[in-house]
Amino acid sequence: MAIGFKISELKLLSEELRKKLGLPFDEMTHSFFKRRLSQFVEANGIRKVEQLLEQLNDKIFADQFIHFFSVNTTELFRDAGFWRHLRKMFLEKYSDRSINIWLPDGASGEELYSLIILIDELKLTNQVKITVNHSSAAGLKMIQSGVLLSRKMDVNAYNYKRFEGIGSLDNYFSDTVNGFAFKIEQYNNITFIQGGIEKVPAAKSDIIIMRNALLYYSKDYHTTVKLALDQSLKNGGLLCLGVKELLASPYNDRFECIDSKEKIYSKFSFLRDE
Amino acid sequence: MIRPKYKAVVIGGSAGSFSVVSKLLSQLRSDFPLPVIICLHRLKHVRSGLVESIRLKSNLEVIEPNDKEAIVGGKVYLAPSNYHLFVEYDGTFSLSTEEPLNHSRPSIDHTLTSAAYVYRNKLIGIVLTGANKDGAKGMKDIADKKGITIIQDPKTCEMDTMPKSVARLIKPDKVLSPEEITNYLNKLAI
Repeated sequence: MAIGFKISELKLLSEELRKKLGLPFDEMTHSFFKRRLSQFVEANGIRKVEQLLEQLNDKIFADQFIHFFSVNTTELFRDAGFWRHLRKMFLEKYSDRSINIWLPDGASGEELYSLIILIDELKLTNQVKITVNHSSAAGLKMIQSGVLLSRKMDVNAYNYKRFEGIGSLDNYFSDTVNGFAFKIEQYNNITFIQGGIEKVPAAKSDIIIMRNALLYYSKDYHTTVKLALDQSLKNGGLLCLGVKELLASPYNDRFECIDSKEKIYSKFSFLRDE
Repeated sequence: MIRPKYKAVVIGGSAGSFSVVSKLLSQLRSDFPLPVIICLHRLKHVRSGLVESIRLKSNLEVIEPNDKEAIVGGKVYLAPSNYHLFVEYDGTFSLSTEEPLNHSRPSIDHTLTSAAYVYRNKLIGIVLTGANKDGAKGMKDIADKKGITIIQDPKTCEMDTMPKSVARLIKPDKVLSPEEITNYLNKLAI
């Protein structure tokens, strides 16, 4: 590690970074913030905090820094059981009407591509509108390029098989110099937003998928985010978290857990709008 | 009640260490006061089965923690499949889907290192049989913070790469057979 950070220094720096860049660095878990910061400064040859802050005045560098704090290591159809259950919910609940889906953290794009494939196989693309947020411009550009590394395709194909997809992943990808590219340009039902959880879609959502994005934030911040998710979700809508994330008190009186293993929660339909 | 000298035990091993861990937990005193945090290399797509198997013989409650779950003494915590497991300063776990480390998620190094920073000289780190070097760096971090480092005696290992990798980086405080590790831990509970 290029800079030896003390706990108190990290706290001050995280607060300063939030003021400077807008991302809630001070709400990140201690271990995550320290680990990612250390990796970033080492990879960029940064020796002093002052040097980092100076370089962050450059907009492109600052965006790269923000992008580095986005964990882009998921897979297509990670937790195949979750995607199978979501498909079942589509068939039972959403096959005959228009719906809005929000992904508040697009991460690597693989959750989005998995969702698009699921909807496409059900032939429901025309009735679904998807909104995807990403905190950095570079992250959004990456998602919009559709490019996935070749080495990830084996695990993606394995996950797709476990998802019990009815077609072939090959139909959704084209070869590129860097690997494979998801043919995202074929889908015009997606809106991209640069920004975090505070940039909510104009219309309330029927489904919100935010899996594993909150792992890197403190418990206090979870409260803030879950309140925002609750307010953005229609009554009777679905909230999908990561399989090791919980929606506990005070949400027990607003949500019902419909799959405790895959962490799919349904917002009660009888709630009064606030 | 005498306050324990240590605050936690953290154990790493590869998939082959399952039988060692299982036996250890079956012989650990039921009033063992410390949290036992275990990180084993495991198949990423098989989410269930391992914790249930370990639970069968354990004298202590065995849990795969959820994110932000509080760490409680007398419970055994097993790193979930396809997530890294970290110990935080506020006495909770955090999980992560970040890059595999040493080709592993969960990575033993990540768990051991985070525990070393939080528990410092009140931590006991144990590395069991295993086929790669994951865990060696974490054990060095425990040693640097003056925690206790124990490796399974390579002579008793099915695969000795993991404990030997530790011994190449540091001089472990103890080199013990599985039975001796159990006895050592049980004495802490008295």
